[in-house]
Amino acid sequence: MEAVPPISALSTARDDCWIPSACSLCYGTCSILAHRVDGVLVKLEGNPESAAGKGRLCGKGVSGLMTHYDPNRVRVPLRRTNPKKGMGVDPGWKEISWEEALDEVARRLKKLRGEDPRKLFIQRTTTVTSSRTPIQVFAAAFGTPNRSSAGGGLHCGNGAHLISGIMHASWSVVPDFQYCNYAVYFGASKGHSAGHASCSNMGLAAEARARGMKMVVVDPMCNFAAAKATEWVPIRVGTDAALALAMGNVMVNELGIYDAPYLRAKTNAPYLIGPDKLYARDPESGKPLVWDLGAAAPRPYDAVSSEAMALEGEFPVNGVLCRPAFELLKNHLKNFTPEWAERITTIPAADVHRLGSEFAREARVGSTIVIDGVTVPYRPVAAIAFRGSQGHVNSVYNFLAVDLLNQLVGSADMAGGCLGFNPACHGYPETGRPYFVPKAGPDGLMITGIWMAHHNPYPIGEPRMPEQVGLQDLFVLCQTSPFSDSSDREEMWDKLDLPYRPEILLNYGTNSLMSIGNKETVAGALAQFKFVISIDLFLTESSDFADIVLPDCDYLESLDSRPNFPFIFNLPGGLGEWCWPIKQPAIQPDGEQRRSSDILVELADRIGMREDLNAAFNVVLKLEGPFRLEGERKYSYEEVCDAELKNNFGAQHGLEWFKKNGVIKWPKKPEEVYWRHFVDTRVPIYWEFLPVLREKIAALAEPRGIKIPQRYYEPLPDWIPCPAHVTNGAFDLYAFYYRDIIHTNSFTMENPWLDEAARLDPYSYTIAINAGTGRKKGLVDGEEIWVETDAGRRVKGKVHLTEAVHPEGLGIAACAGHWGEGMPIAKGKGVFFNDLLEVDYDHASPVNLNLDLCVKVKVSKARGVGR
Amino acid sequence: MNVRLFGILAILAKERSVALQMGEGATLGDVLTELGKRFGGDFADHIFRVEGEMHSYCGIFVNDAMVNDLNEELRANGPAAEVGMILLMASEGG
Amino acid sequence: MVIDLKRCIGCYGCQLSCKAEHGTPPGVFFARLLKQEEGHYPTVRQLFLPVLCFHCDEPACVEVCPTGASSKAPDGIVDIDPDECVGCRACMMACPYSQRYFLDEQRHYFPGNGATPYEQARSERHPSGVVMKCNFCRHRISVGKEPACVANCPAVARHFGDLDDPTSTVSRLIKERGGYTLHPELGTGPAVYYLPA
Repeated sequence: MEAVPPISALSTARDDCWIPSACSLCYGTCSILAHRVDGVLVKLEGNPESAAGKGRLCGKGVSGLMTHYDPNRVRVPLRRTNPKKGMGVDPGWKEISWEEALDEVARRLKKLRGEDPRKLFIQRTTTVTSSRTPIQVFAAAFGTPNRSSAGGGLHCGNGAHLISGIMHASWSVVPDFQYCNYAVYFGASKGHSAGHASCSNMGLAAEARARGMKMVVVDPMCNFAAAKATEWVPIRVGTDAALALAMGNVMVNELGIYDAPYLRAKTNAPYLIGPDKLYARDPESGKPLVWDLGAAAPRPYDAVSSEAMALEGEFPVNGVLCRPAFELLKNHLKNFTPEWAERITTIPAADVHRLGSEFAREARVGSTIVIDGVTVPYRPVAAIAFRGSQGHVNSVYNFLAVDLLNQLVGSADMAGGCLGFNPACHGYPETGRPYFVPKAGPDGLMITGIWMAHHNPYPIGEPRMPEQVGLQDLFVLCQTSPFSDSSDREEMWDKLDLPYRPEILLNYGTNSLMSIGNKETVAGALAQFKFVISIDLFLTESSDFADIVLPDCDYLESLDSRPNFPFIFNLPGGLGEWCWPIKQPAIQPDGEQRRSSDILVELADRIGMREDLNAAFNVVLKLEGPFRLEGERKYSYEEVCDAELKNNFGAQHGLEWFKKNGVIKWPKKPEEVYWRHFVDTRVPIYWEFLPVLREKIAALAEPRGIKIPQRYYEPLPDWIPCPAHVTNGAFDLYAFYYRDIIHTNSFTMENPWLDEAARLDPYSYTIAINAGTGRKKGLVDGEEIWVETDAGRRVKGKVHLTEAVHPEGLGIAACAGHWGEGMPIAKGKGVFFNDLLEVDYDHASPVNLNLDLCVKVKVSKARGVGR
Repeated sequence: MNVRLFGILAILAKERSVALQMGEGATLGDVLTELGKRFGGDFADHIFRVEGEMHSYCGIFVNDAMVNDLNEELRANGPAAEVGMILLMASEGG
Repeated sequence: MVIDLKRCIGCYGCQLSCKAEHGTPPGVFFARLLKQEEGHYPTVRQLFLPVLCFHCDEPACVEVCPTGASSKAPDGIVDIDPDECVGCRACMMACPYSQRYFLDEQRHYFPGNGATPYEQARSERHPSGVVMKCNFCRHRISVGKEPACVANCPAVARHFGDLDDPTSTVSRLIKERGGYTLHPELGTGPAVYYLPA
């Protein structure tokens, strides 16, 4: 591998050019134009040609220059000389050559692969979307299933992506801003912060607001989305399911408003359920049965037209009385009255009732709209959820209860409703690629057209004795697992006879010591690796455990053919344009940094797994025909990118074309955006597979002493409290963290422009407590306080007394509070919320293993000066 | 026909290239079953989610194109079919 | 200029795209975002208020400038000629909106490391010892672009145009939405209007 290849000159005489590329300050990956003058990057702007960002950037995006030019960036490979590893223990970094670094890393990895490739554990930051494919193919070629996104995955996705995947065939959900009239946000900030399609969503949400869309934001804190809301609904932390279920009850049982034709045709609502909670099945075909009202008999679901299916009643199947799933749901919802919800959530019963009524009425069940000459159902209401509501032990039900509202009124992926991000695409007109559309799978339930990796959310996996470090092959609904770092990981591995232990960690860009949970627990896990390789922009707190650090090129120095693909991740949803941007370097690194994609390809060659790597690229990128990678030929990453682009868009649209033009785009069709109306498939409003799954997991786990609580595996969502919801004496506040618009994870506090803005912001670096609550505790705005859990974990920070927080809430922004020396701007700024979190099975969802992110705390004044 | 194994499959089988004699009209599913017989239960578990169904993370190429359908017949006439297999077991998150 | 507070989401895009366009030193913000919460729990609103120089019709800063360094151009932009400015800072005292900045000495964003290549490329625009401020990105509008803060806003919350033309977007928005200025009683006649949240 050579050093970074020279950038082809795009200008003539003087160096003054605008280079189209992609941002990586958060995973939104909006398209950018980077302005370079005389070899210096002087401005970053949006790319108006691209639907990703639409020519604009948030505060983080424009500030990328200051991360790029940060003198604290790692410039040369480093190797530790101090054999002792520990938090704050100086590794004794020594500069080494690339040859020495790659030689050692490759030697160790090759040896490990010969012993047992599963002993390699790979971590990557969610922020750099371009790292996904290189790491996926490297892991597949190497032969390890062990991969994690550190905190970004453990905190955020196990609920949101699982349910968005099963119910909407997408990674996340968003209101159809163009047509929605009434959006309810549960612990989400789509269009008001960062994340999926961030800048595009900001424009779309603002336009919706200007048009008069009503936005109701259910959140313990009034910031970002709630700040712009028509109505802020303060809620006790982690109780979203209670509100959503009560709203559903009002809609279905009191008002009788629900979309019966949608439920009959597009969900498993009519499937007959026996007293064992499972589908009644046709004895011949095994297919779930429905009650055919015309024939007055049970028939397989695909043998009856949906209009004839019963939604309610009790019917005999082989002498056993069964009920349609909808009947069970309807009755189940009766348990959740507005008065009951008030006790759980602190939201007044009258408001709960009103919200349910408003949602139901605004849904306009039964209406249609004509868009571009195409008639689609019109349901201008959306209930969306994201990180907040699913970051609890009750992760699955919290999120599912919210999405049920969309399913009940038929607004899922309909005009004005709750959209998945681009679940269906018919492809670039000239090539028909990329093509993906959801379709019906086992039991008629939906399989995604595309996914981010290859473990599709449905059909769910078959639990087995695990061979993955994270135990995801047993807990099959989990994507990112706590068991790579948890305090009980050894115990779990022992109990489940994990046949090996992880030995080498390859880390790309994560600061897992800060992003996962309390640092002592994670430090223990990091210290156990025999060898740690870390590819980084900066030395982080986690670097204290690295053996070799490799300096990473940043996004302005890197190349990737697919920063915004799959489209389910960070291309704007709804109507508009399809858009495929690339990321290309705008400048050379000024040290010895190399691109991580090139590093991985080089390592693959040195390890001797080139043919495996090529095969993995072929599958992941779906390379076919003349663009398929052959045998052991040593393609550079640039060549692979060129092959992908030509494979998708034709031989004339390779890397050179994209370097000049930046993006390729074509118009979306209503049949793509509102695919659900046109595709014959169903989603589960009754998760029949959950009790089935529990049996299988329990059969393996419980004899080994691991409890699989049935309560979480019932087919209908329920309210289940977190550990924090138990009254606990002096520990009377619910601490939570939230995403800040000015910061991404633990990364951007090092950026001095962003840090400067955050220091001037009332919330970014402070601990937000309700002013009334704070005054009762004798706190003074701006003073230093301790926040402490009943496990004795504590963090210190400045309190900000505010009206904009629930009286029981304590809100801390982002993942701040750095203590390391490698990021001196970030050091000491903000509060390290994650230090309050336990990382173990008891503090994770027993279904999807998402970490419980709320914790009961008490506050006290911190005496003395400084930290 | 020829099967080329990659990644963990090659490591489990301890072989890269496997020559198979399959009858006329042999399907992809037949080939996979044959491989399972040859390399044992652990190998088969890595390919099949349940009997007759591949794991979604099993990627298969037949000659130049990707194939998902276990019922797809492989060409037995003319040149031997080249089948390539790799597992993409690492899930994604975040 | 018109700033639509209904659209603004407080992303700091204006503050930072201005900083990125001009390379202003630490502590200097030609455009800035202010935040204020209003009301009492649970009836709370957050106000996001982007501010900048208002390029007033009767600028107090120009009036007090002893050297003529501060002036109002025919197109309405209030600007400072750094060669004429002697750094007396009378203008900073006169400006009722605190939108002028002054540095005694050069400051850089990575203290102890000197200027980054980006800051070096921009440093001559911000000499110490003279007052500096927003000039509506004169270098951009002269080539047909909008000011950086306007062009960049992801919520499309900022508009720039000719207030003397009743058919311009800015004029129409002010009329249709009831645009207002901040503290008009101070009498300087700001040329930046806000649309209600």
